[in-house]
Amino acid sequence: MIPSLAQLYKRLLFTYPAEYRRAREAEMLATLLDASVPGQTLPSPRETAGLILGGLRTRARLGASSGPSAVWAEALRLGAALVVTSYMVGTVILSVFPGSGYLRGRLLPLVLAATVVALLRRPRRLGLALVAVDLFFAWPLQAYDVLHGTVGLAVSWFAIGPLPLGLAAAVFAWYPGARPASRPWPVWIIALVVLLPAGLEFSTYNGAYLGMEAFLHLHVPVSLFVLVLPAIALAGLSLLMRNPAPALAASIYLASFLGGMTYLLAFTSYYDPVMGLAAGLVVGCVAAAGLSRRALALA
Amino acid sequence: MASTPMREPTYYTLAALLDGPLHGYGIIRRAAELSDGQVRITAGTLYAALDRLSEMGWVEADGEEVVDGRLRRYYRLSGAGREALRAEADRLHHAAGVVMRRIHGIGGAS
Repeated sequence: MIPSLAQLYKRLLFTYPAEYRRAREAEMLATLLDASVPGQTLPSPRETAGLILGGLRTRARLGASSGPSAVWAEALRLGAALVVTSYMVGTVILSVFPGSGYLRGRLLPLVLAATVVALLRRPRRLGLALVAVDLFFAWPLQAYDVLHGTVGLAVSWFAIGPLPLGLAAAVFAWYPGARPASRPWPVWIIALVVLLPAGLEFSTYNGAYLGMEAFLHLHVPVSLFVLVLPAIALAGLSLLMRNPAPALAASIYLASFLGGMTYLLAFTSYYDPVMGLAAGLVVGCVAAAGLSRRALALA
Repeated sequence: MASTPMREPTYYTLAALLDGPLHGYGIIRRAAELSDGQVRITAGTLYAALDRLSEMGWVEADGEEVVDGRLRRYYRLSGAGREALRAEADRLHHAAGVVMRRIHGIGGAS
């Protein structure tokens, strides 16, 4: 069945927070239908863009009104989700190649996927979920690698990396005042979709490190694409929404990459040429977060 | 409050309410008429502006009715809103005068 124009507009209004929709949905729907031309069956591109932007800004406005601790809590949750997602996708890609093993190649991606879904549905439990993944999967894998002399430093780091993020997110989740008035879930979806290719970076990074021939030539160009694109997308989203959380989350995500590269450098003297780029992007994202806060104050 | 220039949709939203209360679509239509079709406010922009203007006390809700099954909520300009709009119009008038006097050679342009 083809949805009516009213139904399509109603779906677009989901970009607004639930409490806002309760107060305004009927009125906004009437205005949108009054403004439509006879015979119109699809929302106009202008109205669609206006509703998406209006919804995101309303969420940002209500979210920002709940204070800096809520913004940091949101940034930590989103940043941790990005790290886990990139790790998960990368593990799946790497599992196609022989030698990745059943636990790492099959089971771990499933556990990580469940973690991402859990934290999207129940963000307050994110911290504990990440800690559980680290303790029961990543750390035993690391121990296995060390005991058997197999290469696992870089592979395991991205699972260990979320531990401090998870702990910080858990602490913030129970901190009074850290609950935002409105959760900007469209940002989460956009951010996670944009960040999906980051898994490619992860697999090329480890593939190159493990000496897999196919990845050796891909590593640097993919790094540029995968680090720069999410940084620009999330920093831009922050400025657009006047909410620092996405840019701060990007900083956390990039810093975790930087941490992984530093970890590798310390243990194996493997210098990654994109370390400088990642550091520059962290600084850029922090600056964008500051600018978006300023834009909110001026709005 | 109006220390920074008003954005165009905000200016025309307030201007549309000068002649009396209007509902959402009424504001959009009136703003387009007043600007000779130059300002086409989308619903997303309109309600963001109405939220902000209500918070500032420049616009107030003025009753609602259901017409053909559609809810229409009316808005009217408050005294503070009228004053802010007049101040902005004065500023724009002055800014336009600076240019026009020079273009037409009135007022001793150098």
